[in-house]
Amino acid sequence: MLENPELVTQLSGVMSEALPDGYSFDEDPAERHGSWEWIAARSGSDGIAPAVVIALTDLSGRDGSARVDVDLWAAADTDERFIRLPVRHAEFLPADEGQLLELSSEMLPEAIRAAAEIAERFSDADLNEAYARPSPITHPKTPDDGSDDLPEESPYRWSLRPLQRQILSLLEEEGELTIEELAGRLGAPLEAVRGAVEDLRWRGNVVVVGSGTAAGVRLRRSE
Amino acid sequence: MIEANGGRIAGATTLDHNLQTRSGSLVAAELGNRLLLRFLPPSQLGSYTSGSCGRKHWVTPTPYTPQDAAVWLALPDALNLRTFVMLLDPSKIPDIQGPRWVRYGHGIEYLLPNGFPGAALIYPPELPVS
Repeated sequence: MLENPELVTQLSGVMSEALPDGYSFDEDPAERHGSWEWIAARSGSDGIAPAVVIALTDLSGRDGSARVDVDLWAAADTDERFIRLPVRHAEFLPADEGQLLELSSEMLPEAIRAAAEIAERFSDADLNEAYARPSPITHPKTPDDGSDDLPEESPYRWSLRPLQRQILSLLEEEGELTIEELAGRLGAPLEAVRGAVEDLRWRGNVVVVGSGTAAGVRLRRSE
Repeated sequence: MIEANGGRIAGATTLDHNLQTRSGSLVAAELGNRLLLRFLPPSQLGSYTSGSCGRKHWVTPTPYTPQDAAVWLALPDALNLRTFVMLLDPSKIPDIQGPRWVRYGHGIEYLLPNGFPGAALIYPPELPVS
């Protein structure tokens, strides 16, 4: 039943309308090993991002019997720790796609509100699971300098360390630049710069100034 | 493995659109030619044996038991065990995003933003996991 992309889009619409103020889906849903998953998060002022996770799992049988499981979690995280608690589980046995939409419209708004209320109450002390932290990054196959000598298709051409050094050096000179501007100045792929900047932000080497779209966000070196 | 091959794993809170997108052949090199795994519950058997283009799929390079997959990959509907797996050759997949640490979980995952072609499937296309 959930193989119909239009149905998934319609379900996204039902969920979007039910989201509390401040919550939004930052991404289109994706299939996570058999379940469609939506994450609606809110940027918290204290660095904790409360979120509602909604998942639909199609368990319809080959005999034509339809069953869709619905799960909701309240969650919250920082870059380092998280919590995720189940809030609702329901089994829908819809006759057709229309009835699945109907059932979702009836159940999801209240369940989303309930999950968000719980998520809003999470404090720093509740984030009791740690994200795996990347080990100190080493690149044994990456030369410290002279990366320009690497062939065009080498996966190490825009490897992290040399690129990050160039980014920090440019920000030192220019003060503030966007990811797009950095990519343009360095002649590097936007994705590589974005990845390098993400890591620099995680390490606290650069900070975001103001707001903007992903590639247009302005950055400067940390003090 | 990934970091030793020059890659980096994005933080769990990194949004999909901020993940780097690369060709499957570059990701294959990063993984030392290991395969990607897409777990599936019995109800999905036969759904993707010809590939699945045009929809986003999460995959992982790590083999898990069905019970461990639910925990490490923070899978929804965890009691509905993913007892089958598809093995995918990353070099046959045009676009791959990631890797990233799983949000609200502990594993590593890649995103296939445009799905995967049937040519990426290793035969037999679906294997039981115990």
